[in-house]
Amino acid sequence: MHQKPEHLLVGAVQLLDMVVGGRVMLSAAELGFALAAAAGFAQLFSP
Amino acid sequence: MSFQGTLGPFVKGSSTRIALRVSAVFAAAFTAGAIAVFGIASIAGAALHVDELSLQWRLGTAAAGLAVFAFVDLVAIRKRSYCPLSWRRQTPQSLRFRNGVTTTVAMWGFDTGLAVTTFRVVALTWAALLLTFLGLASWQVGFAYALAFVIPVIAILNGQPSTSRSSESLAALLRKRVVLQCISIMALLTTGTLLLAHLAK
Repeated sequence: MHQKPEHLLVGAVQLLDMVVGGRVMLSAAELGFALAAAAGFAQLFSP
Repeated sequence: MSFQGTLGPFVKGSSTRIALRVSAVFAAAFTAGAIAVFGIASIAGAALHVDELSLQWRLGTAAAGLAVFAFVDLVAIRKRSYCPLSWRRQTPQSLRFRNGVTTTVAMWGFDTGLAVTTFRVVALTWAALLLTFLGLASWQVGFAYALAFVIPVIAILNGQPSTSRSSESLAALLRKRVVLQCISIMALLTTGTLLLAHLAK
């Protein structure tokens, strides 16, 4: 699967729209887990 | 990807038993490092009684911190570099010439799992550590950090053919870095917005 950056941007904007619209409500603890998982995955691309 | 250069030689062409041992030792060591660093952040917050501060204050501080980390990622993009908030080192690959397989893999896994002792691609790690320090997330987020790194690493190392793709070009890696930094900025700003939404409740 190949995702172009603009597709990711559209997805991010849609997510932001859901957040601002109050349709997504995660606890701070859940957000911590999500951030940590994203951080771990990003490290796959370390030099 | 650096892990391919470090772990790859131990796995490629090895017997299934050795490949499994390398994978298991690496996964355990990396997870131990991740739990240690998030545990230290949690203990430091508790020792400083940060968790006794009001929830509103901590949510506001976290949201502000995430905005700063998003700016740090933006600076990294403009400088065409990795996250400037990091110790610019990797675990030396020369370890494998001085130690046995198990020791080398364990040292590399633990050092990498510690997160703050090696290159950061994006500032997300600092954001997760900040939430842990503020008592908004628990030390157990270290498991999420570890699983998100360890599972793909083991899948890639054990799934690839022995002839393969270890020499990914630097240019391709740098292009991924920019995409990741853009995603990181979005994730940090979105998370900050979500935290502020809690304040508004």
